[in-house]
Amino acid sequence: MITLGIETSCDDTAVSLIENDGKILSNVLTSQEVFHKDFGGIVPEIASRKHAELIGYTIKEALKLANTSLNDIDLISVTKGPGLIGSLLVGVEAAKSLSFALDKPLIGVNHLEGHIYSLFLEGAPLYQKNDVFPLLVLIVSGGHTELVFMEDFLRYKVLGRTRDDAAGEAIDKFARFLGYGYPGGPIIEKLGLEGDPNKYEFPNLTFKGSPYEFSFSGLKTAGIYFIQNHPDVVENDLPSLAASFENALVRILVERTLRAATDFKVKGIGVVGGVSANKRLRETFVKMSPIDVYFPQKALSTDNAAMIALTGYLRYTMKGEISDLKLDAISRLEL
Amino acid sequence: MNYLFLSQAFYPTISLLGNDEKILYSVIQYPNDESPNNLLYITKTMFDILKFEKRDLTHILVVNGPGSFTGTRIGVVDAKILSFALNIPLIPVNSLELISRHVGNLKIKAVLSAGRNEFFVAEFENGARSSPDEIKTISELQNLESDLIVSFEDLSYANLKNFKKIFVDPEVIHSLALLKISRGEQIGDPLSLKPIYLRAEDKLFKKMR
Ligand SMILES: [Zn+2]
Repeated sequence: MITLGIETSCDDTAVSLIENDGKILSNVLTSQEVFHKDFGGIVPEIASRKHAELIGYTIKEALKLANTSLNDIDLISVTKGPGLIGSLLVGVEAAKSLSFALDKPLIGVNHLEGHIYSLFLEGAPLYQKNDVFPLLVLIVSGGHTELVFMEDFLRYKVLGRTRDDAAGEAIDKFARFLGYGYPGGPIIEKLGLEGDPNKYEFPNLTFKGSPYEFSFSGLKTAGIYFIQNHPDVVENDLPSLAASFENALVRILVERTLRAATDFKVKGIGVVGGVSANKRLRETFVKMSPIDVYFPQKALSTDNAAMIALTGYLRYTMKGEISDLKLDAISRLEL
Repeated sequence: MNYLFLSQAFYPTISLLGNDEKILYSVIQYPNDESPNNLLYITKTMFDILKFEKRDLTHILVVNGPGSFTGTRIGVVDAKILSFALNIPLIPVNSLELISRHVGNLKIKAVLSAGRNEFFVAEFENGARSSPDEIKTISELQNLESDLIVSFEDLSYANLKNFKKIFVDPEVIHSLALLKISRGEQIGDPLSLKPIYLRAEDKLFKKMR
């Protein structure tokens, strides 16, 4: 069974074909980064225009690379939310058009759920494994920070999320305040390579009664104040400043996750989403966690359509779920 | 020959199926909260009612603007993916030209709202275009010479001289579709079809900021 996945929730136009439970036939991503980088962030209007231009060619390319024709497709899976509404709409409309033209079932899926299944795709550590539950999953990206308890396939409980900024958002803004471009995460990571991560202190806010909730706006503000008040450090000790800020952010993520892992007695921890590619985050998790921690490879940690195809495949085959042509994009959608 | 004509570029949404001789079915939908815009859903419903097979389609026509930014984009994406998946030609239709076809040979300015108190405008005379598509402000439009201003939308709020609201006529769409098909106006690569925006991205971005 072949599933075609479409993902357009943010600024990447992505289409993938997978076979059965996660063998990747093609995984195409047309990045729009070049169109947005001058603005220091994603411009929604530009993103939706580019998606509309690129979607057809991205589908065509994914079919070509998979050596597959449209008639071989058995299921069409698309991100219905959360994300930028104008961007989501392009993917949803393309998926509906394919479903209508080919008379094939359609399913709209949650982007966050998609990230979880990036761990179960071919090449990822949990591919074709089903004895890994209960599993704790940290979804961490420019748009999201969520801690999810996963009892089994398709069964989740969100333990905590961010009360304000996403982790990736905080680091983007810190980088921007230092005068660097977008996306900020990889820039700060590189700047901090030679620095001392424990040299400067940044706050780690916890909430009474909500031990698994995150907050990054306090950290972000502290970072910006620090830059304003210590031009000497920015001038002479940038590597340690970048490393310390990154380390503070990593500590918040790792501490909350490990606490939840202990409290819920999970078998393992998955870390997914764009920020999961961060080296310091990976190293800190591996160093501090008493149980196995799984990361998807880099190409599957950022937004991609293979994870959307697998999510749709699982929902369709395990629960018989489908969507009709009334399927609409939903900008704010919770797991 | 069987064609499908789609538009979500302005109010109302249109899905129309026709052949060489006549209109087979047309849906002119005025979306509201109870029946939100859903071009593909109304199209599928129309096919189901007629028991019409998609493989019998030979052409797709779509209004690619100017018009509503989101609606135009939806129409264009739907039409080009359908054209690609069914492997049939795709013909773009200009929204202002479609308006002009509703008024015969009169000299008119065809107008649609562009939001932010601006308007998409083009001039037509004797059934032919005599100006390109442009964006004009409300005061520019109010100060135009005595041409008849025509729109599918009710622009009475704009206090225009000589304004006339017209209704979408399926027969006009049908004859325009046949004309465009007979002239072979399909685009070489359907996937390359873009909406007509008229507003530049960077200008838009500065305004948003
Ligand atoms: Zn994501």
